[in-house]
Amino acid sequence: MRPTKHAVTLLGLLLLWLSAATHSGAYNKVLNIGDTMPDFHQLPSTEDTRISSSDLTESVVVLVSLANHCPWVKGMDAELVALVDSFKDADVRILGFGVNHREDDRLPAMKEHARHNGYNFSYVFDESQQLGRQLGATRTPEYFVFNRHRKLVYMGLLTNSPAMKRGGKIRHINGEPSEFYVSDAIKNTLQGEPVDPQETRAHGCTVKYES
Amino acid sequence: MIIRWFLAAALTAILGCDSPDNTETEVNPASPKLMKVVDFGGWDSVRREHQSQVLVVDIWAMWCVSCIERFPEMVSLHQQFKDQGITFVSLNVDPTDDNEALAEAETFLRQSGAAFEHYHLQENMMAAFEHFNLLGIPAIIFYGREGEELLRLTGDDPNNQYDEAAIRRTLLRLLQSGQPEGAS
Repeated sequence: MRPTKHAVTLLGLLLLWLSAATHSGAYNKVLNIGDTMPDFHQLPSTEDTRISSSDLTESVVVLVSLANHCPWVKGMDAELVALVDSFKDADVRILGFGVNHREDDRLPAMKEHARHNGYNFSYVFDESQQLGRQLGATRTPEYFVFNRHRKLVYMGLLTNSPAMKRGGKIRHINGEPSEFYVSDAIKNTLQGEPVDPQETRAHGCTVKYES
Repeated sequence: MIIRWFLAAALTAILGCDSPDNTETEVNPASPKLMKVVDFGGWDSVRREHQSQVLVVDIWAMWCVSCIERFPEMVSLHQQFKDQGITFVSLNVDPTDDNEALAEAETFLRQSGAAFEHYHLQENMMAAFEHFNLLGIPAIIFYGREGEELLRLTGDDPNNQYDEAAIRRTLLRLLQSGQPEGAS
């Protein structure tokens, strides 16, 4: 009897370990595919409004972590604006968010950055950094695509060739992008199709979390 | 502390590091390069050369504002620990074909006063991050005297961030017990 009890205990511990080990994504230390979008409340936006997760009623919601100072955000700005524009007639909402506390990443600078780069989407500031922490966001830019049930279907890169802007020049790491992960994830999700890949290794500047 | 503050202020002034678009630098092309160029194989050789020592590797790039801001910490820590069997090395991962960034990196290192070895990794940047299993930089990797990875301090987990105090604690523990806290 005792060996059986031990075996059951060991099996339970193994299952617990497997469950913990598979909770986070391949790269994301907090969130995994299928996890629920975190709630957020009344975050101030660059449009002088306040936005909560409950305001997002579209079939697909995309959250993207941004930071004004980051060369990888600057390099991708035009592609992000084009992405939003390409889904302007679809039931899709794309929302930028920033959590860094450095002055050039805070709301006043965000407003200027949004205006200068023609942002055609809302861009909110989360001083508490909770949204970033709950998403496990560590890079800017980093994308999170949620379906109508607000379950995560994709996270990571915009395309297979992130771009950096320095000295006024935009430089893609791998030449012109040929795989459009976020766009494809949105299209597939709208059509009820599975998303592949579901996770890519995000690339960009480090999100600075306060202790 | 005053020296470190002055160094950080001077580097900020030189690089305009809050404005990464500002790439104006003064580079004397005749100056010998501080950064030795290595590929993945060359980097393995560097690590083998230092295998009998504890090796602290700071992975950085000019586009990484946090790397620039934190670099003076490494210079200060090197000053403190260089005579205690701990070797510091910097590994730059700017794009190899970005001559402006590499010239800025040379100037930056020269101005930083970092008296340790510097390398530039001549590999695709995304491949480099995959190779080191990193999401981003700055990243500090500690290797033991057998060449094994002891610990890494990165910004890859929002709930487990590091600062200079964490690096200092890790180095002190390494000196005391040969193993950093949390080594796996």
